[in-house]
Amino acid sequence: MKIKASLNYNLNYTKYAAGIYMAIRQVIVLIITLTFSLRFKNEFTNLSSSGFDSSNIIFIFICGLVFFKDQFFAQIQFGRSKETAVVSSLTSIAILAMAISFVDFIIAWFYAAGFGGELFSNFRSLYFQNYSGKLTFGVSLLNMLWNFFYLAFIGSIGYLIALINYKLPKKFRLLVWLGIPVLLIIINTRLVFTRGGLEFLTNFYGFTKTIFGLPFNSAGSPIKIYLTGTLLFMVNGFISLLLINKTPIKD
Amino acid sequence: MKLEFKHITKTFGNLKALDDINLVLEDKKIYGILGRNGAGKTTMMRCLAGWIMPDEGEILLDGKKIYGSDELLSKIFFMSEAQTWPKDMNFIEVAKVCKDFYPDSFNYDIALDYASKFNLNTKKKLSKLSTGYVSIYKICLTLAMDTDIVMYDEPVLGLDANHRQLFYSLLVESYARKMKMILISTHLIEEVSSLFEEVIIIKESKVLVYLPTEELVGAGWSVTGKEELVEKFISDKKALSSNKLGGLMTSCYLGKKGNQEGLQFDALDLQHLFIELTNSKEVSYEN
Repeated sequence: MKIKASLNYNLNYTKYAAGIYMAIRQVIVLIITLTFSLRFKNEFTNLSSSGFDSSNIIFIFICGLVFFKDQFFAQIQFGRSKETAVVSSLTSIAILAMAISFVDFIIAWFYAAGFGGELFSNFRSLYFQNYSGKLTFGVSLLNMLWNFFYLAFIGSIGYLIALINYKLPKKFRLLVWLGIPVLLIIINTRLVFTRGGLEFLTNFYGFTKTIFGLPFNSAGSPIKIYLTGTLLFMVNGFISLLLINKTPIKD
Repeated sequence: MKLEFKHITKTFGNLKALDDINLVLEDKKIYGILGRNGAGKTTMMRCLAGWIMPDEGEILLDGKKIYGSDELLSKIFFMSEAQTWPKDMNFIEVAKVCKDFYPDSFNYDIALDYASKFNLNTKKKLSKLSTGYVSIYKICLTLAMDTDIVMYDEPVLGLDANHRQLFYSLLVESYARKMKMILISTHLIEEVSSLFEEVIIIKESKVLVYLPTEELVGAGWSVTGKEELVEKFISDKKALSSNKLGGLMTSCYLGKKGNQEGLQFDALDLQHLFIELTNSKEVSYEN
């Protein structure tokens, strides 16, 4: 499998978009930091960053969609098999997820080291909201891994959706574009919000809890989500490989 | 180098795009792939490029299956009409990508040289170029590619006569630089027929003809003369078409040149022969 050039291509193609996204996000963080600092001074010590985690999820999901669109076809054009194109795209998504998680890790640690002053002393990422704990170097690493596995999984879902959409006849595409995102929103809602959120989905919550192993403010091990994320990423990849084999390249 | 199509069949829904295609291409020559719209030329090329998996049969390069093999697919370059090219990149960026994917086969400097010969704006993104320059953009990259097999699917789409002439001369230059198997699918047969060393005609998803161009061109004739003489002459020939005007009749047929008095014989050129072969409903050509 000749994957090096494909990875170079994918990551070069995405690096500017990822860079711009991260920069915009950090500018927003900075503006909020300054605004809240001036307004609340030292009284405010619990700024949640879950909104930024959610933006990561949306970004990587869109990357997954786009990776099937442009990058996949370019690799086919440049003499790679469809299987290689899928594997390199999914690997690129994983690398991108790791890069985003690593940047977040650095930023979190930057604040934890005191550069954010009192304001970010209680850096409330999704991980901390789910697992609590004190912001230490070790916990930040666990947080980074949590982000990575989760983001890689979300990216692979985006990729799979784009692939299914490409394969389906036009009349069924609406089903994909409405059905799967709705399903994802429901799952993500349950992942992002605690029980106080959408109570009518209590039964579904039980299901997602079983599937994802996410304990939601209860005691539990983040290793469950590492394993679940890896497993689901591989399942999505496997389904993608099965689907791509007989998919003709259309105009 | 030996390229084999073995019983290739491909169906899209109810449409049979390729029906039991069997071909063996052995030499590094320029092959013309001709056929009417929808005959199956592009599908055949896409199968060879690994873009489409045949329902039946296999394509072998030196005895190895092409489909799914990066090793073999990187020996093939396909200039397609499809939207597979990176549309948000300019020519220079894509040339660098080509060099990355084909480090031993792509000639970066030559690609830029060709782009300047065509006056292509190398800093403009593909999506911003006109139809003609989109073709030129692809042509310049493909001409600079020295893979074992290079395929052109309708390369001169939207090109003016001057650019088409330049393309043909650069194609010969590219072939002379490195001998390779070049497959060209085009509808502008008359312009490019002199370049073809061998011709494959596809009709209704099947290979109708696969012959050296010289042999094929010598196989079709038109005979003109008095109606009764022409009718008598072609009675035992494979007639392709006939036209009557007044007492005169012209018939096209497959076979050898006749020498009967009162009849005028003219060789059919490749385009004329192609039209006759692909228009006739029942004609079959035995190589």
